Amino acid sequence: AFNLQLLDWTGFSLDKNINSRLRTNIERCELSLLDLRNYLFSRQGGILISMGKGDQVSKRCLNFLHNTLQELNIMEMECAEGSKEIWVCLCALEVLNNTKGNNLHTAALWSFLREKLLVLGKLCGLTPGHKPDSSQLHLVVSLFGGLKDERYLKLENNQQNPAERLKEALSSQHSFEKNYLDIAETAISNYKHIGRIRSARLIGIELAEFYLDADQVQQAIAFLADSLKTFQFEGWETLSMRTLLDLAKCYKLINESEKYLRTCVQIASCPGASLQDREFYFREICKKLDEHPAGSKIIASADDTVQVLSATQIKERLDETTVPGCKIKFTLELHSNLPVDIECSSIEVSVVQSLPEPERKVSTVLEDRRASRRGVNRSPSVASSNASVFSLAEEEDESEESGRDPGKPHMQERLEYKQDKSLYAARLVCRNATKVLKRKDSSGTILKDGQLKPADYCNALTASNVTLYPGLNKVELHGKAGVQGIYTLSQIRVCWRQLSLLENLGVPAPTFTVAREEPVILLNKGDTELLAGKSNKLSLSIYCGSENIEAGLEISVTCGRGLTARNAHDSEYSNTITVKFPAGSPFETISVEIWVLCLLENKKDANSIEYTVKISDPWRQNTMDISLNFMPALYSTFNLLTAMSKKFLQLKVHCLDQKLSYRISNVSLGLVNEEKLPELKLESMNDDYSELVISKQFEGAFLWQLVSSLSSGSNSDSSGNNKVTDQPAVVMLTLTYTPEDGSEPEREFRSTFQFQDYRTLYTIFAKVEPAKGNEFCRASTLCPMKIEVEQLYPDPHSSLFYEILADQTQWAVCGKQGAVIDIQQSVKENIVVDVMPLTGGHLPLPTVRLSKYIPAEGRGGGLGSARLDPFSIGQVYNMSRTQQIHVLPPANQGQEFLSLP
Amino acid sequence: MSGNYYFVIVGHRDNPLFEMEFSGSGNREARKDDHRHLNQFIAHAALDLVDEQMLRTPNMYLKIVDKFNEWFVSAFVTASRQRFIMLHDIKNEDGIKNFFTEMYETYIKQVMNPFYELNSPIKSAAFEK
Repeated sequence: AFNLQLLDWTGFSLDKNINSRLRTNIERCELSLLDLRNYLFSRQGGILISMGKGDQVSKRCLNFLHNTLQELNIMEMECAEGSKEIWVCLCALEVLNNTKGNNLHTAALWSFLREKLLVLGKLCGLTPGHKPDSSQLHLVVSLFGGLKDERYLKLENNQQNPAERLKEALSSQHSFEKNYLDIAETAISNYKHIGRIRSARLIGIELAEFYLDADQVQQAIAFLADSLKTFQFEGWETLSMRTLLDLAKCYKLINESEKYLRTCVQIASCPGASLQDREFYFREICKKLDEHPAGSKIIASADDTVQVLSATQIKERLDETTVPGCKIKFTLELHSNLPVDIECSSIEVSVVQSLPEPERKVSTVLEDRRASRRGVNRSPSVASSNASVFSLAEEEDESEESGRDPGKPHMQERLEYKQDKSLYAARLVCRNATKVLKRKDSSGTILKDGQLKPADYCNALTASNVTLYPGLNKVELHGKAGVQGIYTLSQIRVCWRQLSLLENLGVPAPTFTVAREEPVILLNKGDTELLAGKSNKLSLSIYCGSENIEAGLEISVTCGRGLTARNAHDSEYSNTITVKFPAGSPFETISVEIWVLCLLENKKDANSIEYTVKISDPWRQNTMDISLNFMPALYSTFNLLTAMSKKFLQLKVHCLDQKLSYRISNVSLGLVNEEKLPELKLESMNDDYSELVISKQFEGAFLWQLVSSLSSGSNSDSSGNNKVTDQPAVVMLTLTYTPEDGSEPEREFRSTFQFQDYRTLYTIFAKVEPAKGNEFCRASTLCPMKIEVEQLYPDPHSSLFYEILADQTQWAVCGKQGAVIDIQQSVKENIVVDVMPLTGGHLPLPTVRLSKYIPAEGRGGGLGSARLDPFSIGQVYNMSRTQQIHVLPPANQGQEFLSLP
Repeated sequence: MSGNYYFVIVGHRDNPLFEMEFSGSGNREARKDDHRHLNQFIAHAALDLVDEQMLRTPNMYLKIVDKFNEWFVSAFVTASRQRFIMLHDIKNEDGIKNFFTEMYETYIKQVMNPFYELNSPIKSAAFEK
């Protein structure tokens, strides 16, 4: 009887009482396979329930049902159509009635129950859109026949036992529908509850079909749309395409033209769909668009229709920086999935500033942090409603997570130390373990799907009238840069007829930086040196950077001491001037000429003079110091010349200007401290030129004689009060100069010189005479050298020391090389020293050096303890300084040693 | 070994990488397209169960994870968490396990290909063997 034809398809019961009917059947070996299974499972279930493991029952039940069905198949048991389904339904209902709550297995069980019920419904013609015919009615009756409902206990409280419920479900079309939907919804909600969205979606799809049959298109749409989201998100093309097709049919049925359009767009661009379908739906789109009023806008997702492959900024130069207000160009690579070309009225990409100015950014982040500590919920869906907030929040997250993907483990090293600070343990700690190890169920990832919202397109990159061909397209977009910052391309909008296809650009979205370049102030001199004492043209310029400079911008220039400046249109020089600038556009350099005049005073050498100019910088709110070096246009030098007792002042005026010659006039030299030196007078020895032209090559030289009214003679007999003073004399040279071309007014040049020791105290006259009896000096013979020292003015230092310094290759000094003489005894002192010339020829005389001899205090010892003080130049006039003497070669030497005269 | 099989490799982002359908006996490729997408539906729904089970067992081969009408769903998870899912209508545990291991080897070869990017659909003749 075991594999007899299946006659009884009553399900098992989880009643606590042992099913004695089945048990006796077993004893009599009169039971079917199903009976045996039923019995075994009911026992098993009974025990599990009494052990309190109710949830195990549903788990095992599912397996049990599957296995038994499989068994029936394998054994090729003959059974009536639908009988197995009835049995499954009964069993499932029994278990579900007896287990409470949702768990993994009840969801699957509900779903299984739903499947089987649907099969039954189809068999019996109870599904919507069908009418049960007589054979189907007959089937129902015969199925009920095998269902021994008397074996079920009546339940209290109007609750139906499985048999009753199933019978009711199959009793009429209406109640079938009600029961089926009920069960399906339970299955879906159970699946959702345990996080198996995908399974729920599968039921949803079938439910949608059911609703479609029942003409409840709206419900069907809801389920289809939900499923579609899942499929598209996970990239199951075939599935999403099927769903799309279904959805399109639904929308068409209820005449939801906008949604229908959107769906059509998706199908038309779905690579999984057949070309036929795609073209058909493309035609549908065109048809629908024709029906639509021209002005309306329909927003659709461009996710699959037009894919953005890349967006790159085109720069004319590599180092070009994008500055506020400048033009931006982007090349967009688009992939159109539509089967046909479309003429787009415009393609735009919205731009979002992702980084505000640095200072501001810090403060906002800080605020945000504080906010998050206060526990403000920043769920992405909330944040994404406002693009700028979102970017900030993201940034904040990044700084918190130190830029990590939240899905990645955030590992940290942690070292633990013992009390003596030695390492005790090192470990790696995962800070976001709960996030990483969380079971990835399909609910979390799939459900978040923000509705596409058109972004702000007011300063977008745009291109108009573009034809998009199927496949790859390159589009050039143009835009204008906003204020400084980093911008992200956030969304693309493709406008085609009334359709606006929107797509958010993926991460990492292309960005571009708008940088601000600060204007720079420059002060330029021309290619020539700046000259002091003459006005110089400078150009003050502003490199505008990225700024637009309005006309009338004022920059003040302050000069240091001795320097004055004027604007080109002014005539007066002043220490501070305000320079007005014309308008300037970005990257332009605007300049204004200014003139500076540097004082030329008392300049005695060619060294340049440094001056500082302070220029106010309106952008950096500070002043900058620029130092300028001026070459003197003119400078003068001074020389005190001596000729015996006469003193001459030579003044030279040099010119350093490379280009111009100067006309100098009114040259005069005056003694400044005349009252202190009444005896001194200056006598000009210059010709009476009215003017003299000097240039770089030609200096002007002037000569004055310094005349002292105290003559040497009158001085000699005078007593102490007429003593020569050491008072320094100060003279001042004044002259007026003007450039020869007359471009500048006449200016005065002054310089003062101070000098001392302006008297010749001693004169020295030296000569070497031939040895006695000889006409000429001959080498290697002793010759007397006569030195005459004469005092012209009384000098407190009357002890003098003379030295004879001779080139040792030419002269040998045979007498005393040096000695002290006391000149006070006689005004003239004659010294004779024997010298011997060593070679022949014109030999310069040995030099005689005269120094003040200051004996050491206390001991009138030798030279070693005394001090020699040199005279200053001009005090001693050596009359025979450059004299030479003709020396014949020694007589006893060969011709070859003769030195030629 | 007769019966129908449907095999799919699912990537990290739950996207199908490779699909194949075959039947043990003769050429019954001429099955309706409708059926094929039903397979996908089942495989897709079974992902939930695979995700759940792979955390519970150290084995790569997960055995049968789901049943759907006449279909059984077996799964295999690679070391890199790629999921192989097999729909079959008869029980053939050893055969399927062998198939999975074989597939795994082929898959590893594919992954070692420097031109292959993880998680992208597999287009390879060798795979279709």
